[in-house]
Order: sequence, then structure tokens, then C-alpha cells
Amino acid sequence: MRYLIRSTKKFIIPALALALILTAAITVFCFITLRNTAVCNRIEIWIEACDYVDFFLPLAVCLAFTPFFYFINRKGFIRYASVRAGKKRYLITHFLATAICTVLVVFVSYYATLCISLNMTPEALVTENRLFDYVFGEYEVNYPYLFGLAWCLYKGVVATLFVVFGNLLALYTDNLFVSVLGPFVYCMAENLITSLLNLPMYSIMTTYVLNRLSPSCMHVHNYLIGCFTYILITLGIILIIRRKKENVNVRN
Amino acid sequence: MLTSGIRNNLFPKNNRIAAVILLCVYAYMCGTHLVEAIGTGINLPEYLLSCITDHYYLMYALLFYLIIDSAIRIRSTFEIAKLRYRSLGRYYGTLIISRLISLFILVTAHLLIPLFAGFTRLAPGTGYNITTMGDRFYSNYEVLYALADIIPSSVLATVLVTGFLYIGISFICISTLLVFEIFGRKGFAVCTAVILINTFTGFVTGLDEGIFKYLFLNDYFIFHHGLVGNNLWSLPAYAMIMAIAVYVLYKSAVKHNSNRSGERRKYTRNLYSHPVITGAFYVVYCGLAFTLSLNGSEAFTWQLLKGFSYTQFNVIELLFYIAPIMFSLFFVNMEWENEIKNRNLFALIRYGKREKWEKEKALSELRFIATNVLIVVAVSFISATVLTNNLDNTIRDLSAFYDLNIGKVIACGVLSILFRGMEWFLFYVIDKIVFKLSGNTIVSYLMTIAFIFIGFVLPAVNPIGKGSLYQLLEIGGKGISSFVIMVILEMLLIIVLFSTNKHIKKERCFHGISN
Repeated sequence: MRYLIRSTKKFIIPALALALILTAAITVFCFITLRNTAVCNRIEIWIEACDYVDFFLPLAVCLAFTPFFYFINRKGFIRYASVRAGKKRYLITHFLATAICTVLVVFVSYYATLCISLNMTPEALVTENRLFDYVFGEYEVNYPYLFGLAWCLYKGVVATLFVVFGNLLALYTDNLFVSVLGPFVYCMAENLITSLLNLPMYSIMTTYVLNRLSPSCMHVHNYLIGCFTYILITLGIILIIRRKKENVNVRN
Repeated sequence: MLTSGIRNNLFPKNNRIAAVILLCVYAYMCGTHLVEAIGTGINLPEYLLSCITDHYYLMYALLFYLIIDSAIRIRSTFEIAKLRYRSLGRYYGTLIISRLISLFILVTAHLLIPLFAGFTRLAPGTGYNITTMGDRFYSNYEVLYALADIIPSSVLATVLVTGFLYIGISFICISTLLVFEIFGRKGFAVCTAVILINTFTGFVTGLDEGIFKYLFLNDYFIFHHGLVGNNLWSLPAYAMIMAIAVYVLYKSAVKHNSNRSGERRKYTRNLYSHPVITGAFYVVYCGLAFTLSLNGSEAFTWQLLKGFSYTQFNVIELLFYIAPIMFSLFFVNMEWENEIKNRNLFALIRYGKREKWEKEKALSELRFIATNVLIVVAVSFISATVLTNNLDNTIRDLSAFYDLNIGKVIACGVLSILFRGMEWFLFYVIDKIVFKLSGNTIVSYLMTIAFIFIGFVLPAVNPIGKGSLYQLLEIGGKGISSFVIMVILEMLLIIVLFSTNKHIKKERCFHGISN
């Protein structure tokens, strides 16, 4: 536990920087959205503003947390650490620490902006509420703070998946470019393919962008299928890369 | 070496007997056809057509001969020969050229035999006598009736059919040869079985119709199976599918055998070639297009070639448009990242001079990107042809929608290919400049993406995205002046960036190697 806390402390600077950037970006977009969008409910401002930031979320979290792991891997620190703590244990602790940081950063920045957005927005005058058509629409309208709490935590967990994928790529490809941009490029490619195949409900983007599609397309299980598919495909990619690396090592 | 190699591989000893037997069978078949031809009164080119389009002969005699021929050639292949040639390119070149020449001789013989047989007994002519014989219908010459509908001259039809046959059988032979080079003898056996099952399934069951005709190999060398009932636009589609298949197989064969060839291996040769990943990318790319067509998604029918529009902007269209270049640059950047860690040090030392190495590397990168451009354009053309299934109508629709004549629409299509190449070069140069300045691949890649997206703020003067057919058509509608401005802008940007790239000497990725 102590080791985990110590590992988490290493990420304070990138985590703080990322939290600040995300908060600032969402707040700015909230203001922009507030000026030029007709809304039915106060939370809609925040949902709209998050759309822009969500597009770059895989890139942002990987840029903040993956290079650190890449450099300790490249400099051979894992080899020395494994003598003291065991490689497996070290990696698990490190990944857990990264995951905690990611969840915290994403949760804090998104939830803080939700609170700001709800407080700065005046009461909507429109009585008709289109949010009710969505899966969690009722909660979004009636309990925005409570819903925000759960949703931001969930978003943090999804962001953790990106960072873990990036870290695994760093571990096996030994290439900074691939490990940082891999999850982002994957998301873009997957988004493109699912959109063209008329299956956007199963995209990973749909799972963490709130109310992304029209209400008729969205169901509760869509939020899980996207993550599940993502985990399966990324695990497949990692296994292939790992096997390739092992073959190269055997040949050498 | 090359000439003697070709001469030796032209007709190996055992193959000559097989070829003579095949030609004897063909001559007998021509004789039986001649009796019928004299009876019906068809002219000489029609008789040639009837002989060369005999699909029973092509399937049951020629195809089996080709497979036996390939097997005999493969059996007499020695690994040591690769060492003699020093370069795999030369070795494969010799094998492929000799095979092409031998097949050319074989196909020419297939024309000459009926020509000599029918020369004195049938009247010459360029039209179709079969269609001017009143109400009588000869079921034996059904192919001739069908060909008369799409090709006005029987001589031209003979040339087309023979050319199609030649290209089709060359494709099968070269593919089997390369499959052998990649997967060995077992792979060749499996490949042969697959070819036989595939061709006979298509031939016997009649499944080779509509969009599925591209899946069955019998349609690749029997002209009236592949084209009759459709239009001639399928011809380039077949050619490009074959070219892509041969290209991917060739690259894989070179990559697979380069360690065993004994040649002095160039480091940059295989630097950017990841045949499996590249192949997977194109399969996904083509697969999407085909799936869309099967789903009947009208909005995406011309997805690959049409690009995206500023007036009717769609993010998915844009992503589809920039996906291939982002894919290519991803691999280029990935290799640059490897270079930063001096993974190329030994290759660099071998080259001696950094300038020489840089030149070789740049050429390799450009070759990689240019190949991708060619493949994407080919894929675009195939999908456009396959998806619409009637390109004439699509061109007419576009012409009416944008108020341009058909010539201009076709010119815009050709220009879009040219502009796409220029755009890709532009992105590559931008990526390289930013990499040289920052020494960071992530920054350079993100900057290139940013450059693409910033361009959308100023669509009127923005040179990006002009490889999109939509935009060329939109510009074409505005008049020639907008078009000229756009060309000048793009050329100017390329010249400025290219010269900038040339003058940046800063290299952060090499340590300890000087000029």
C-alpha cells in the first residue's frame, strides 16, 4: 500500500497539469456554448462542452501518463526494480497507480466543470425537455450532481483503459510515438469504421461521450459493449506484439 | 545474366511436351469448330473468337496445363539460384519476365492455329455475320451475340478477349509462383487447390455474377464470364485487383526471402514495408467500401473517390479521406522514433556518409507513400466501379448536378488523382520539417493533423483536400480562374516547403556520426 502511494505521488505534476488543462478547456467551451446554443436544461451546456474535449481525451491522458512509463522502461529501471519487488508486482502497482491518477484527474476536472456549469447557467425557460428521451435523461435533469458524480467516475474508468493500453504498448513496442498515439489513433479508426458500418452504438467513443447518438439508438448495454470490444481488441493487439517481440528476442 | 536467365526459364524441358500436347488438343478443337463455322458462314475474326472463348477448353485444358506447368517449374527451382542473381528483385524479375514471355508465345499460338486453319476457308471481315443471318439463332455462338452487343468490331473483340486471357492467366501463374516463394511447397499445393475449387465453383454453379464476379478466378481469364452482362468499366477493376494482389504477394515474397538471398541487404528496403499491417489496412479499406455497397448505402457509394465537400460537410467523409495518409505517416513517424534511439546505427555506419543515408531514407519514405497513393487510388477506382456498377450513369448524374459537361467530369476525376498525390507529398514534407525542427515525432504528427484541420477554416484559399473529386467539381462549377488559383497555391506551398525542408540541416536523431 505504501509502495502504491509512493508510486502515485510520482504522477502529481502531470496529473495536476492535465487536470488544469481539462478544467480550463471545458470551462471555456461551456462559456462558448452558453453564448450561442439554445438549451432546455442547465446540464446540457456541460454535455455540449464536454463533446469537444472528449474527442481528445485518449490523447490527453496518454500524453500525460504514458511517457513516464516509457522512460522508466527504456532506461531499464524495471529490471532493477524487479530485483527488489518482482517485475509482476512492480508493473501491477505501477498500473494501479496510473489508473488511480487517471480516474482522479478525469473525475475532478469533469465534475468541477459540471459544478461550475450548473452554477453559472441561469434556469432554462423552456418547459419541453428533450433530455428525458435519453437513457439516463431523468437522472440528468432531476439529480444532475448525483448523476455527474457517477458519470465522471465511469468516464475516469474508461480513460484508464486508454492509459493501460498506452502503457502496455510502451512496454512491448518500446516506441514512444506508438504508445502515446496508439490509443488515440485506435479510437479514431474504430470510430470511423463503426460509423461507416452503421454501428456507432458499439464504438468506444459512444461509451464515454454522453448522449452522443440519438435516443433511439442508445441502450444501457451500449455503454458496456463498447468497452468490452475495446478491451478484447487491444488485448489481441498486445498479445500479437508481445509474441512478435518474444520471437525477435529468441532469434537474437 | 538476366537475358540468359530468361532464355533458360522460358520453356523448361518437361514443359515443352505439356505445351505441345495442349496445342494439339486446341488444334483438334479448332478443327471441330471450323466445320461448324463453314456451315454457318461466320467470318474469320468471329471464328477466332469462337475458338478463343471456348470456356470448356479454357477450364478443362488450359487451366490444368497452367497448374501443371507451374508445378514443374517450381519443382525445378533451386534455392542456390537466388545466390547467383545476388538480388531478389533480379531473380523474381527473371522468373516473372520469362513466364510472361512463355505465356505470350502460348497465347499467340492460340490465335495463330485457328487463323491458319480458317484462313483459306472463311471470309475476312470486321463486323459480325452471325447477327445478320435473319431470325436464326445459333446457340453454339451465344458468346458472339453477347460480344456483338458491347463491342462493335469483331477484330477489336478478338484482341480484347486475347489480351484479357493473357493478363488473367499471367496473374494466376505469377500468383502461384509468389505463393510458393512465401509459403513453400505446401503453400503452393493449398493455393492450387484453392484456385481449382474457386474457379470450378464459379464456373459450374454460376455464382460468379453481380458483385461476386470479383471473387471467382474463372472470371479473370474468361472474357465473356467476367464482362458480358455488365459494362466495360469492370475491366480496369479486374486489372487493379490483380495488380494489388501481385504487389502484396511480391512485397511479402521479397521480405520473406531477403535474409536467404545472399544479397547485400539495404537497410531501407524493408524499413517501411509491413506487408501484413498494410495488407490488413487495405482489406479493411476495401472491405468497408464493399460492405457499404452491399448495404445499399447510397450516401457512401463514391466514398473513396469523391472525398469530402465543404458545402455539404460530413466528418466521416473527411476522416475516410485523410485516413490513408495518416496511416502512412504513422508508420513513417514510427520509424523515425526508432531512429531517435539509434536503432539504425549499424546501417548508418555501413552507408558511411550521413547525406547518402538521408537520401536513401527519404527515397524509401517517398516510395512507401507513393505506393500507398497508387494503391488507394486503385482501390478508389475499383470500389467506384464495383459499387456503382454503372459508372456511365454516375458520371452523367454528376455532370447534371454540377452543370459540367462529361469531359470536364472525367478530367476532374483524373486531376483528383494527381492532386491527391500532391497533397500526400505536402503532408509528408510538413511532417518532416516539423520533425527536423522539434526532433519529436509526436509533435510532428499532431502538427500535421492540426495543419489539415486548420485548413478548414479557410476553405476558399485552402489547398488541402483538393484531391477530393467533390471539391474539384465544385471549383469546376465556379470557373477556370478559381481552379488556376488553387493549382498555383498548391504548387507554391509545395515549392516553399520543399526548399525549406532541404535547407534545414538540424538533425537531432543522430549522435556520433558526422559528415
